[in-house]
Amino acid sequence: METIRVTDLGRIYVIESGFWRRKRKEVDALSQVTFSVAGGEIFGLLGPNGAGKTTTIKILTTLLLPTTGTAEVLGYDVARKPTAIRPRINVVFGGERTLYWRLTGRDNLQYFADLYRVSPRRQRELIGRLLEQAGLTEAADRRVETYSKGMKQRLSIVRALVNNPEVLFLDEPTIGLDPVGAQAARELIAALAEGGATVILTTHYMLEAELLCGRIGIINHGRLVALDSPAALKRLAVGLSVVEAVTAGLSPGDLESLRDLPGAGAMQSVSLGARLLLQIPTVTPEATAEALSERLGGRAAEVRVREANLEDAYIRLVGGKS
Amino acid sequence: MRSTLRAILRSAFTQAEHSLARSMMRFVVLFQPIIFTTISCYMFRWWGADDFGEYVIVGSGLMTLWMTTLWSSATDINRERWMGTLELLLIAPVAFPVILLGKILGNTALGLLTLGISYVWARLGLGVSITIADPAALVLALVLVLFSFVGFALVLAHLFMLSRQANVIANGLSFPIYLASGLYFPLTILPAWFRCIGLCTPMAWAREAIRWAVLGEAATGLWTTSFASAATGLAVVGLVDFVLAFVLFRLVFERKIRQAGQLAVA
Repeated sequence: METIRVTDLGRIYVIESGFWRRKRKEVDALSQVTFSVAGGEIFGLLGPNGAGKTTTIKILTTLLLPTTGTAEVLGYDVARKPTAIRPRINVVFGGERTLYWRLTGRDNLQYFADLYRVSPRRQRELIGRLLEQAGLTEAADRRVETYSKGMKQRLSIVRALVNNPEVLFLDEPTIGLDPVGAQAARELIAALAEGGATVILTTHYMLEAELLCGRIGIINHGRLVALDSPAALKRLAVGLSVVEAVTAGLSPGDLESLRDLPGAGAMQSVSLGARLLLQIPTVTPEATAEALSERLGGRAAEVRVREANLEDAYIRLVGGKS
Repeated sequence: MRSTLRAILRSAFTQAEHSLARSMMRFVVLFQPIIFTTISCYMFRWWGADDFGEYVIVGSGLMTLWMTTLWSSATDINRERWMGTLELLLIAPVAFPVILLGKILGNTALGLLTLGISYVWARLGLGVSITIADPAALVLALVLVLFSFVGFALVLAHLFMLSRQANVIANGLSFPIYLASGLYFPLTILPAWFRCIGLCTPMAWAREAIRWAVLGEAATGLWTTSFASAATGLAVVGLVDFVLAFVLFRLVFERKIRQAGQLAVA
C-alpha cells in the first residue's frame, strides 16, 4: 500500500530584492517530481545541495505548500488536510539544532511528547525506552548543551519517535557525525523500519543510502533524474571503472590539460589539503591509467583502478556538478 | 481538551525554565526591577514629590513586565528560529498559537514576579510607603494585566515570525511605549494624538487600573473615570489582541509561511 504519493510536484520561490525598486525573481526549487513510497519502505532522496530535497520534505511534512501538483501522505492531501497528517508523522532536520539546549534530554522528550498529546501514563514508559534506545539513559538529566554532537543527534532522532510515527522524515540525520556515531544512528533508523515505519531519508552519504534504502530517488536542479533500487542505480555505472591518482603540485593549467586524456572529460578533483585526488570514470581503465601516470610523472604518489560504485553513478547522473 | 491544557502548562513551565537558564533573563527578572525602582524612587525624591510610591512600584514593575513580554514574543521567536525548533512547533499536532500562548504565559508569569520584587524592594529597601485601597480590585487588575499582555504578546509574536530583525524591532519599541503609556507621569500631560498610541497597548490601561486599585479615590492625574472603566479598557484591548492574533496566525502561517515560504529561518 502506498504511504506517500507525489504527483507532478512543483515549488516556485519568489525572491524579492531591492529597497525602493523591488525586483522579483522566481526560482524553480522543484519541478514535476513524481514518486510514491510503500508502507514500511526506507526511501532515499539524494541530490546536491539546493537540489530540492529539503523542499520536498517540507512539503510532505505540511510546512510548505506546493505551487503545482499534489502530494498525499497516509492518504491525505498535504495542502488541504495538514492537521490529519501531523499527529501521524514526524521529522528530523539534521545537524545539532532542533533541541532545547538549556533543557535536559528528558525535558526535551517530555515537552515534545506533550505537544504530540502523549498521555502522562504512556510518557513514563516511553521516555525511558527512547532514552535507552539513544544510549542516553545516564545523561538523561544533564542539559543538552553538555552533550556531544553524536548524543544531540541521537536525541534528535528519538525526539521524533515520541508519537510512534507511521512516517518518519529524516533530513540528513547523520550529517557531521563520526563513523561510530553515524553507525549508531543508522542502526536506529534500520530498527524503525523493521518496526513498520515508513522512512524518507535524505543524505549525502552514498554508503548510508546504499545500506539503508530500498529505493533511491536522485534529484538535481529540482527534477527527479533517477528512481530505482541502489543495485539498479549502480548498474548505470556498469562497465565503468574509475582511475584514481593522488597528486601534489598541480597548477589549474596542469589540471585542465589532463582533460584531453581518454575518458577524462568527466574527471573529478577532490582537495585533500595540499594534495589533490583525481578521479576519472572510464571504460578503458588500463589505457587511461597508463596515460595519466605518464602525464603526471613524479607528481602522483600512486595511480590505481577501482570498480565504479553508487557514488560514481550519482556523479554521472548529476553531471559532476553541485 | 486535557491534553491541550497540559501542552499549554508544559509550554509555560518549559519556557520559564529555559528563560531562567539564561543569565540575562535572570538579571531582567530579578535585578532590573530593583534598579528601575531605585532610580525612579530617587528621581521622585529629588523632585520633592509626595505620594510617589505607586508610580515607583507600578511603573518599575510594569516596565520590566513589558520587557519580558516583548522578549517572550520577539527574542524567543528568534531563539526558536535559530535553534531550529520553530518549524517543529509549527507542524506539531497542538496548534501553534496554543503553544505560543503557553510560552508567553510562562514569560509573563515571570514578569509578574517583577511587580512583587519592585514592591518588596521599595517597601523594605527604600522605605517607600504605599497602601492598597482596594486589594480585590488589585487582584482583578493583575489578572486582566496578564490577559491583555499575553494577547498583545501573541500579536507581536506572529508579526516577529516573519522578520529576522525581531530583536531590533522589539528594542526599538520599548522606550516609545514607556513614554506613551504614562508609566512615570500622568498621561494627561501628553498631547492627545500621542496618548492615542499608548491607548492601543495594554500598558496605559494597566497603569490606570492598578493606580485606581492602589490609590482609590485619592488617585490623581488619571484620564479614566473609575476602576471599572480602566479595567474594561484593559479587558477590551486584551480581547481585541487575542482576536487579532488568531487572524494573524491564519494570515502569517497559511499565507506567508506555507504559501510564500517566508518563514525567516537561516
